[in-house]
Amino acid sequence: MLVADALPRRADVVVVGAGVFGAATAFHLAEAGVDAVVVERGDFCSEASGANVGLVSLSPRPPGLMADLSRRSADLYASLSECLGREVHFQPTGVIRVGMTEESLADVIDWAECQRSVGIEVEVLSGDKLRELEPLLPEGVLGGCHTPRGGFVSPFAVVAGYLERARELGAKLVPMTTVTGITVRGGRVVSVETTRGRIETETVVNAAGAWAGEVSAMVGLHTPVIPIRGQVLVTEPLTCLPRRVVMGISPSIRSTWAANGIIGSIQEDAGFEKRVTLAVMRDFARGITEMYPHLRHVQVIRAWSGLRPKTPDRMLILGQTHQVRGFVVATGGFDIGMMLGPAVGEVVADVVLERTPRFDLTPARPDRFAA
Amino acid sequence: MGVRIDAGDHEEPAHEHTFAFSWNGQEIRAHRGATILGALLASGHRVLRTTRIAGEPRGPLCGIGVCYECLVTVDGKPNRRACVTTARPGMVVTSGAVARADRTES
Amino acid sequence: MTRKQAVAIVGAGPAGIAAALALAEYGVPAILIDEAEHVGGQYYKHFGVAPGSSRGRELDQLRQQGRERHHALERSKVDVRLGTTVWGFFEPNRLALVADDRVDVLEAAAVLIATGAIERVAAFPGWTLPGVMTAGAAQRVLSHDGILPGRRFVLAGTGPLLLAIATQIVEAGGEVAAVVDCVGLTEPTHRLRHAQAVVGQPRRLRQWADYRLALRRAGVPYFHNYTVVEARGDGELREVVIAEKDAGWNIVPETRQVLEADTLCLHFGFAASTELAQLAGCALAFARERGGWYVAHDDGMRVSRPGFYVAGQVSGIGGADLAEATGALAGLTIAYDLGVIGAEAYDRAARPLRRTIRQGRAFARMLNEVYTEPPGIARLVEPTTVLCRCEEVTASQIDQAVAAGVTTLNGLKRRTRCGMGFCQGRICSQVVGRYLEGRYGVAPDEAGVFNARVPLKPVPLGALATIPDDAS
Repeated sequence: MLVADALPRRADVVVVGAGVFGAATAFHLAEAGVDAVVVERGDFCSEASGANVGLVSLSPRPPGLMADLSRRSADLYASLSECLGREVHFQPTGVIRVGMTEESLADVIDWAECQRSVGIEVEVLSGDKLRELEPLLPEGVLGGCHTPRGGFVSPFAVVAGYLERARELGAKLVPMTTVTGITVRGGRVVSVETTRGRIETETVVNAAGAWAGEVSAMVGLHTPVIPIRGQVLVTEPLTCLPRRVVMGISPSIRSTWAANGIIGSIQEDAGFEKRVTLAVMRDFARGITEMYPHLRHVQVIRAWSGLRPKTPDRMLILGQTHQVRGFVVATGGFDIGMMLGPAVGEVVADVVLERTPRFDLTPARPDRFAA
Repeated sequence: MGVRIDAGDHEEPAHEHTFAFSWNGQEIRAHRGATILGALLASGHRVLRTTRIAGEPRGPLCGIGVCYECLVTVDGKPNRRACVTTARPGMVVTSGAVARADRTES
Repeated sequence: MTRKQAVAIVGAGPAGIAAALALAEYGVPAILIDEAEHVGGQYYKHFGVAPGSSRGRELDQLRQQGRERHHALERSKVDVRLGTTVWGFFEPNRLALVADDRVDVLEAAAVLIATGAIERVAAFPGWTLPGVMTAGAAQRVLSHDGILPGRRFVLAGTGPLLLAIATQIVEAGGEVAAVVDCVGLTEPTHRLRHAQAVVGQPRRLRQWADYRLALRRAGVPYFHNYTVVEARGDGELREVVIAEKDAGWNIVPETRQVLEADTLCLHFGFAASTELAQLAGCALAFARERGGWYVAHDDGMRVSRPGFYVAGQVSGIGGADLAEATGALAGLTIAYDLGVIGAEAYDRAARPLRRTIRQGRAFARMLNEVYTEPPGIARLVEPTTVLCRCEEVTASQIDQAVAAGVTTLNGLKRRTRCGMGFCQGRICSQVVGRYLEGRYGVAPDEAGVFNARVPLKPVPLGALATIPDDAS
């Protein structure tokens, strides 16, 4: 665990949740001189942020807030190690999106057009050309596109990096501590109650991921996130696996920065059961060995799962709520939380500091779900 | 390196039970029932691999299949434990720091 | 494929075998599972090569005992599944097994965890050199393959097994340059504890005296209160540096000696293999008298999870007699819980077992408290010493993480990758845990244990692809 600072009696801002959204927010706040404390019920980076494959790419279709945030994050990732003074292991391998059917190929080409229309470099390539680029693509790829930008990071390194730098700049980190209540008086936040005591504060950032609904309920608000489970298998270290991120194939396998193979992905509605299942292990193993028969002798050494917060309209929930002053929500990253993390941290800090955020956050406003 | 224990009276001469497998291209003779590790140690081989990051030499540590130090490639299967794998005639055993996932290595 | 009625016993060492035979006696179907190709665990020996030839009196005896157990199992109705690894537990009650690259999923009426223990080692400069191994590894190569893994041995560590194996090596014709025991019995409390414990165990006292005599006769120097300081060699072990240490584990410089040796056998006691129990959500407890972390249980060997039981080393480090008694008791309790025997019959049969267990635990307590590697051993570690062998994480990387405030094994794992390699933390949990304790004063229950994850041991993708369709 990151050192447990003693719970302060007072803070300018209490950030609930030490995943990538909470960590990035804490960093940007601390950088702006704000006295922030991050309260996390487990160990830092122990939920969705600690159970993903670290994709950094340009996923959402522009124009739109999500696309803007993903582009901004890609820019921030490119220099994040320098900025934090810590290695986040960003591997700019570029990303390939493939289509295995006519329909999915058409979709990929359409996506490529959208990216190009806002000035992002994307090449549309035939199956053969893609294979020249990435010889370890499986059979059956009809075509797709290649974006030089993007790649992957080490999720732990990213979150740890943000938190440590934040701490250097004055933030306090209190893991293994659960928020049990938030007191509102006269329509504004006045304190946060935790298992270690009370913190007087006027601002709370709810970055509790799949549990954000519980935290919002403490102030009588409705934040509709549901947990969607993802599972991942990790293999022994291997050379000669695709290094590039390849999207559009499931299951897929590639190399991590530490040379292990990583296999994913899936989305299951399984409530809060954070488990690896036999069915998914079997399906992943079958899928990979069908695509790459020579990998049947490769050993899986680890498997884990994570609960990703999904919102009804797949849009983030970001911003100040109107009903309770001082209550800011920052959640809903679903399967691209790590990808959006840096820009979300930046923009949430703007909201807290009442600066004009870099992007118009109207589509993500928390109050769109007023019950 | 290895020292053969004297066979008891009721045991046939050991050499009638040896067979060959290869270790990094070299022929190794093994007794029936031997583990790959036992056969290699008997032939004086105990450096089994070098590590992925620092390239340091490694050999067996626990001998019971728990520590995963004695990893060798057996008939194309990467990273198998020499201490709990029984040697078989004609086995091809090689040293390797990290398994290769090439199609060519089936 | 699913055997709902049978009891699954994981681990065919003394405890698992005793439980299986007890269940068989009561007509309860049991499946006895072990990764090895033979029963006996780490205690009973199996001679794989030239089985008829002698490996020395003691090893021959242990082999004979193993064969007797094997025959008893053959005569019983126990379903013995060897060469089978239990790699997972999936809610609500399924064990995942793999044998010959095929997966089987087992639903059992009850599960007995008898997964045993592994030897404790210590980290010091050069400990990763080929030629440095556990004492048990040398014993295993000797007993299974009938060869000595080297020519000139140094045995270092502590505990009675060190003496036993040194003697076995001498009997097999090996040259033992020294036995280096880091526990000098210089502490009065240790001496008292030792004396108390051996009072009721004349057989053991005699056994130890026999070992000492054999070693003396062979001219093997025995160093008390000495420790190995460094292992040296050009790519493999050539010499071992030893020295005397004081109570604070400071090396006494004038006592440094360099011993020529090609094999260094380490043994500092045992650490229970609790991973399967953790995966199944069974509560662990920590106690020095039990040898560290163990699976908590009641007086019938039931654990915190209903339908699960524990026996053998994983319920607390101790001798084979203790392990067998706990196994027999667990089998008995399972039969009782399944309604096969009544309360009176159960109490009657359990009484003598409980007595054996009490005595066994009392004796084990002394061994576990006295003959174990003390936290001070962390002083041997230098910044460049590798602590996680699989991922090559050095002490200085651990130091950096601790400086950033990380004091748990799981926190260190995420930060430095220690524990993320093939052995899944089995070796480094001891070594890093000891380092945290010795260097930073982090108590074991604060450092915790590595979270257990599926698969418990590496499983090939091809095998996972054979998971049955109806397994979920």
